[in-house]
Amino acid sequence: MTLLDFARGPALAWSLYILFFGSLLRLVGVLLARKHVDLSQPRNADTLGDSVRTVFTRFWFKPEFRASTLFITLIGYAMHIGLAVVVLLFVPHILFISKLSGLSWGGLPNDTIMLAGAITLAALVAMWVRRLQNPLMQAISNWEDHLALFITGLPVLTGMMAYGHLFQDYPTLLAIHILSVELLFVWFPFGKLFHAVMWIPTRFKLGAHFSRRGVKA
Amino acid sequence: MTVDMQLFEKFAGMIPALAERAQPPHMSDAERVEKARATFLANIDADMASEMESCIHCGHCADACHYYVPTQDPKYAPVRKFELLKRVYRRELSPLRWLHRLYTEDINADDLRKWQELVYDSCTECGRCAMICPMGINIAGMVNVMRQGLANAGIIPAEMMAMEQEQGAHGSIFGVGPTEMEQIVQDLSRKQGVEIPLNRDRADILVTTSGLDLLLYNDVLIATARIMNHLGESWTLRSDGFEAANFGLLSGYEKVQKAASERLIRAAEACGATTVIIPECGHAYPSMRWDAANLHGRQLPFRVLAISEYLGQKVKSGQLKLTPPGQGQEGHFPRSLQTRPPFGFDRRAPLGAGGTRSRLPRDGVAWRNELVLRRRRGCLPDRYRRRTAPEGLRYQDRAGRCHGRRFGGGHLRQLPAELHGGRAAGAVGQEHRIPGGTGGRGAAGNHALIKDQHHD
Amino acid sequence: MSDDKTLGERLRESGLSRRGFMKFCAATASMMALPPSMIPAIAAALEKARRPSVIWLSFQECTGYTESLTRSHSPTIESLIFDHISLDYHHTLQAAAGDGAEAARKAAMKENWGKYLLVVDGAIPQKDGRVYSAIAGMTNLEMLKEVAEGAAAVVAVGTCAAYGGLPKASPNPTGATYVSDLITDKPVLNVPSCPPIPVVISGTLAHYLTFGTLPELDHLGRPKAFYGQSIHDRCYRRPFYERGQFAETFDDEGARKGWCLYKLGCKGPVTYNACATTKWNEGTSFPIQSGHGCIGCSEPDFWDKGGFYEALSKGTFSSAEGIALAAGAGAAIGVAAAMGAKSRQTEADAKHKEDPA
Repeated sequence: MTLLDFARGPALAWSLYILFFGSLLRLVGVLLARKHVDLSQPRNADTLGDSVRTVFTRFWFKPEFRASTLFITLIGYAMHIGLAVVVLLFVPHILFISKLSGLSWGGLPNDTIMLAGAITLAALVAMWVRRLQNPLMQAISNWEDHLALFITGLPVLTGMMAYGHLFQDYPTLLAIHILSVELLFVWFPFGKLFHAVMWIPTRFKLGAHFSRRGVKA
Repeated sequence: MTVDMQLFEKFAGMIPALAERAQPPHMSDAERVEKARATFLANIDADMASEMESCIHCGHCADACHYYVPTQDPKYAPVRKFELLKRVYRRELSPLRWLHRLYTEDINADDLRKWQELVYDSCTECGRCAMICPMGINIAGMVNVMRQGLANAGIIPAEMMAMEQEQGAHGSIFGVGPTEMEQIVQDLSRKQGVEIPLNRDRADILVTTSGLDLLLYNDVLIATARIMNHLGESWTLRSDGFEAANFGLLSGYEKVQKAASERLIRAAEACGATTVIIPECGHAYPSMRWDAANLHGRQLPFRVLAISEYLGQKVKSGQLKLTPPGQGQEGHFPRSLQTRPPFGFDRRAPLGAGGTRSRLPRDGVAWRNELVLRRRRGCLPDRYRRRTAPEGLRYQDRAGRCHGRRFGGGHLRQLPAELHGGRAAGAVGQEHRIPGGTGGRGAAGNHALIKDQHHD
Repeated sequence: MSDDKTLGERLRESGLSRRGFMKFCAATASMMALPPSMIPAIAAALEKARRPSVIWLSFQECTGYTESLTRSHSPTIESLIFDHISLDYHHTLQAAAGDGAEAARKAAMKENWGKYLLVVDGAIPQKDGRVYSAIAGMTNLEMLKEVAEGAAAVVAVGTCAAYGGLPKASPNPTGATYVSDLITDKPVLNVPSCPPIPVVISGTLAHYLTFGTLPELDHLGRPKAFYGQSIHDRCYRRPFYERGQFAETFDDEGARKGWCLYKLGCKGPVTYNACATTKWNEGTSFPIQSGHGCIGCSEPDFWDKGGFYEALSKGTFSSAEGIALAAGAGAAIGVAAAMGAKSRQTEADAKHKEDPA
C-alpha cells in the first residue's frame, strides 16, 4: 500500500469516523447541557425571530467598533472566503465531497483556485503574525490557537504544493495533502476549529437571551 | 440639582474605613477552591456551555473593553476574565472533559485571589464585549458567575464585603435602616413641603429608593415624589422594603442578593402594588427585574420598572410633557459624575450610581483615574473617543426598552457614561431631552426640574 | 543459435538505410533524455553490438505483451531490434516444445552464463506450495531462481512481473508476487504497463546494448527516461483541466469536445508512463486520446485503487454505515456526557447552597 493509497483509503475512513464521532459527541453534549429556567417576566416571549437575526447580524461588527476591528475582520473574511472557495469550488474537491454527500455543483478554473489559496495562506500568515506580535494576542493565545492556524494552513499549503509539483512527485504530495486534510478532520471536533459549528447555536442563544430582555443583540 | 459637598466629602472619607469593617470568613484554601468550584458548576447553564465551546481567542472583546482600550494592557482582555470558569467547565462539564483534563490546569486558591482584581475591579459587566463578540459570547454573564464563585470563596474586595455584609445582616446601607428611613422621609417631606406617602397599606405603585439617595442625593427622592403626585398615582414608600441597591448582586453573593430582593417583594405584596419602581441604579434594576423571580422561586405578582422606564412610558402616553430639545438645559447623564466631574471628582468617588467604583483604588480603579485625567487634558486616544460617543446613542431604544439590555448575568451594571447617557435620553424618547441641572443623576435626578417647568 | 553478425550488419540486411538507422539512434537518444552529442556514440555502439542471448520466462500473465509486440503491422525499428536478439527461450514463440524447449533453455544458459538477459513477464504465485503455475514440472519460482542466477540482468516486463499486476489484485488468491520481490541479487529493471509500449523496451534494450548497463531507474525500478513524467503533465487535454472543463459522461458534449476526463476517473495525474508522448501503434493514439481516462496501469496495484471510473480525488472507501455508526456512537456518548455533567452539577448545587464557613 502506497502512502497515497493509505491516505485515500483507511486514513480517510478513520479520520471521517473520528470527525463525525467527535462532532456529534461535542454538539449533542453541549446542546443537552443543563438549561436555566428563567421565571422573570420576559419583555418578548417570542424570541425566535431575534435569535435567528442575531445568527446573521454577527457576521459584521457594529459601526462603533470599526476602527479597532475592521482590519482583522477583513483578514478573517479573506481567510474564510478564500478557504471556502478552495474547499468548495475546486473540482477535485467537489468530487471528493460529492462522493461523501451525493451533492454536486460546478467549480472554478484552477488559476482562480490558486489565487484563493494564496489569499487564504497570506491571511493565515497575517493572523499568525498578529498572534505572535500583538501583546494582546500573545496574552490570550495558547498552544491550541497556533495549532489551529497550522492545521488549517497545512492543507492549503500542501494542496498548492501538490498542484505545483513542488519538491516531490505528485502522488507523494497528493498523499501528504490528503493526510493533512485528515489531520484537520481528526482535530476539528476537539479544538477551537469547532467554532465552525458552534457559531450558530451560540449566536442563536445570545439572540434569544437578549431578545427576551428586549435588547437588540 | 445640588449636592451638599460637606456631606459628600464625609462619604468619601468613609470609604477607606469600610474595608476595616469587613469580616472576611475563615476558610482554608481548599475550602475556598471547593466553594468556588461548586458555585461555578451550579451556575453554568446551557448558554454558557455553548459559549465556552465557541471562543476562538480572536481578541475582539478587548477592543470593546473600557479597561483595555485606554490602558492597552492585555491583562484586561475580557476573554481572560472568565478563564477560571472556563477551566472548571472544560475539566468537569464539557463533553470533551476526558480530553481537556489532560492539558487544562485545575484552579487553585491563588488563581482565585489573582482573578479578584480582574472580575471586581477591572470589569463593570457593561456587556460591550458581548456586543462585539463574533461568536455571540456573553462574557459579562460569565464574569458574574466568576464573582459568585469568588464571593462564595470569601474572596470579595474588603470594601464591597463590608457593604454586602451590612446589607445582609441589617438590610441597611450606610446605616440607613427602616427607622432612619422613616425619619429622613418625614423630615424631607416637611422641609420641602412635598407629600410623600409612607407605609401605606394599599398602593398601586411601590417606589423604592436607596440609602444613598436618602442621605446624599435626597432631592432625587423629592423630584420623584413631585412627579408621582403630579401624575396622581396611588403610590407609597415603605420602610419595610425601600432599599433598591443590592450589594449581594454586585458582589456576587447570592444569599444577600436574595434577602435584599425579597424585602422588596414582601413590601410590594403587603401593599398590593402592581408596579415596583426602581430608582436609577445600575444593579438595582436588573436585580429586581430579572433575578428576583428566579431567586424567589416563582414569578413576581407585579411588574418592575426603572424610574426612567416609567417616565418614558408616561411621556409617550402624553401624561408627562417635556420641553423640546434646544429649550432649557440639556440633561446630564448619570455617569457624568464619575467621568466628567463638574467638581474635581476623584477616584475615591463614592457612590455614583453603582458599585465597583465605590471602593478604594486598586489597579482596576487606577485606570479610571487615568481616564479622568486624560479626558481633562483632552488627550484621550482618538479611537476611544470616537467609539464611545455614538455608542450610547446606538443602544437607545424605544422608551424604556433600553433598560432591558442585559449586560452580564442579568444585570444592567455600570455602563460607561455614554451608555448611560443613551439610557437616560432613551428613557424619555429621542425627541425629547430632559431639561436638567448640572451633574444630576440621570432621569431621576432631573425630575425636580421637569416638575418645576411644569409649574412654571 | 547465436551468430556473429553485428546489429548494424543485420539492420542493413533488412534494408534499413544509414539515414533510417541514425534517425532511430537520435530518437533513442531523445527518448532516453541523452544529449544529441551522444547520438554518434549510440550509433557506433549499436553498429558493433553483438547478438545478446535473451531468455524469456512467462509466468502468471496473459501474453498481452507478446501479442502487443508481435502484432505490429509494419516492420519497425523496434521489431528489428527484437529480431536481432537471440530469443533462446520463449515458450509462446519458440518452435520447440516439452523437453526440447527446456533443453534449449539449459543450453543457452550454459553457453551465455553470466551474460544473458532474463526477461520475465507475469507474476509468480507463492501460495499453497506455489502450485498455481508451473512449467515442465518446475514451479515458477524455481525456474525464476534457476535462470536468474546466471543472468546479467533481469527485465520485468509488464505490470504483472514488475508489481504483481492483475494476479496480485485483491484478494490475490494465488499469493502472486513480483520479480524484484524475489530477485534481490541482480539488477532488476521494471517495464510496467498493461501492456508496456514496445518502444520502451526497445529503447531500454538499445541502452543496454549501447552502454552495457541498465538505464537510470526511478524509485519503482522503472527507466526514468520513459517513466519520468506523469500522463497528466504531458496530456494534450491538460488545458481543459486547468480551465475547469470536464467531460461528465462518456457521451456528453464535453466528451465530444475532448475535455478533460478527470471526473470520469482518469488516473493520469498519478500515473508515470510515456503513453502521452510516444503513444501507441506508431504514434497513432493513446487511451485518453481515444476518449477513455488513464487507468494507471503502469503503477503498482493499479487494480485496487478504487475503481477506474472513480475520480482520483474521491476516497477509495465507501462506508456510509461506518460514518453513521461513528456519528451515532458520538451522539450516544454526547448524551451520556451531558447526563454525567448534569449529575456533577446536581452534586455541586448541594455544595453551593451550603453556608460558607
